[in-house]
Amino acid sequence: MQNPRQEHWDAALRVVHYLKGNPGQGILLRADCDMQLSAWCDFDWASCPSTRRSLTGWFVLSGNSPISWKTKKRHIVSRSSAEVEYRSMVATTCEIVIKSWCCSCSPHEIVL
Amino acid sequence: MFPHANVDPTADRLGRGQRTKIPSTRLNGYATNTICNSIPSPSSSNFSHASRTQYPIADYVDCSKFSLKHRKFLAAVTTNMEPRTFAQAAKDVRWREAMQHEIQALESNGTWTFEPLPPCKKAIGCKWVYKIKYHSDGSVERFKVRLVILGNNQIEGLDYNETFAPVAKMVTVQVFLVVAVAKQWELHQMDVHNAFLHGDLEEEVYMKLPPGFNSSIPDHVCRLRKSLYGLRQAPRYWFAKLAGAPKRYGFEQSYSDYFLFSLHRGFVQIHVLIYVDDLIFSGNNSASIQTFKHYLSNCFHMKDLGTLKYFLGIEVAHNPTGLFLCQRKYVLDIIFESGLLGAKPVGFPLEQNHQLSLVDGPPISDPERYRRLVGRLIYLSVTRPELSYSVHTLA
Repeated sequence: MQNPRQEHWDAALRVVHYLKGNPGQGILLRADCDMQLSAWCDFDWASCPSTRRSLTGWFVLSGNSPISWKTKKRHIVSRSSAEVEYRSMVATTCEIVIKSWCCSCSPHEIVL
Repeated sequence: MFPHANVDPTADRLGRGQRTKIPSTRLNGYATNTICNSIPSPSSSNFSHASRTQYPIADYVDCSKFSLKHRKFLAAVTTNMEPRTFAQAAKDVRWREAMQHEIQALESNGTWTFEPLPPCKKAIGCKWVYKIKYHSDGSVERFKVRLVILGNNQIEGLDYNETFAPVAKMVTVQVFLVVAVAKQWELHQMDVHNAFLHGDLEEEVYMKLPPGFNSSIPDHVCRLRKSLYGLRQAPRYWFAKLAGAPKRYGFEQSYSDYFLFSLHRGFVQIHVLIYVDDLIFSGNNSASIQTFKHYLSNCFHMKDLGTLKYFLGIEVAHNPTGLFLCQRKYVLDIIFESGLLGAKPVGFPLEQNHQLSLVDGPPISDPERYRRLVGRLIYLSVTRPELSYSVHTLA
């Protein structure tokens, strides 16, 4: 971002090319939703070739409706993929706890 | 020292541009200034700057050969320019009227009081911002004028203390909508006119008089009582003011997101989400929502936008299955701005096994444009989860 190169610009334009294929796509918040929070998480160990930091991502659903998602680079270097796995789960759990406060102001039971 | 008797009686009128111009004696043998300009008559000399100009543009622009219709068109095109300074705007009667209205509106709002400036204080300047609002067919809707204080000249600790104002998280908006849809509640939307002008100011801020307006009492300046666009603390005071209204009604502020207010009265539930000057309402009783809307309309000058349709650039479509959120217009704007309206679509947003963090090619000439595009893509991932990874990689 500080010093974008031509390749970055091309990649950004590729995203726009992708968007052109389906500009009207969005998300559907379903009416038949049981308000049960479920979350998915994943990681990519040492995915950044220059800094060797890992990537984690999460996706939180309420019933069948997506409510939160994020891809985030960890700010510390993890030495094993198991470590990243745990860190990714921690980040996701934090997210669920926040969501459950938002949802009903009373914490739900969290089943991992 | 000159004796007083010798002082020219016109001396007090001397000033920039009013000095008697005497051509250099060295040029006496040459023909100079061959373009003859009409000598201004004494009656017209006091109102027009153009008469003093040696080469007025009117001598060079000639529209007499065009048809009357085309001349009207040219005049409309040329006159509808948004002025950048007060001096430019003051020449047009429409802008003058608009400024007059704005001043009246501000004064009726109780924005300032005239007070003498205390010796330790400094008055902050202000400026006018002009904007022409067009109808969708291109005709002029109105001439919009806004008085903006130069907040960049404010000094911390003296003119302002706290500037933090909370903003609703996008996740809260999503959760809010999910809950409303799941419980099959109604969703309504309202927005506030001139939001920032409502905030009550606590600090002592003095503003110079707006350009073009004079106080009846000399040496007085405006002491601001309400916040004004451009003030550093304006968003903070606006939120404080806005948050007070639902609280007085009996709402409780949520601790997980300060922009969410809820009311529980027996079986009736109302929830309000505030995003700066846009409000979304939802609840299980439409009559009590209407009552609350009336209450808010009495507190602020608000516009009822009916059912939630378009919020923060997100299009909201209702149907029995649920609520569909998309940013179609936003996407089309991005495509249009990148000039890719006719481009071939691709199936995947990012190449596999890319090495974007290692590239060492030539830096692009306009990094600002790249940053703007990425910024827009980041906001787009609000309704496009699949872009999350590619946007992360680009940013």
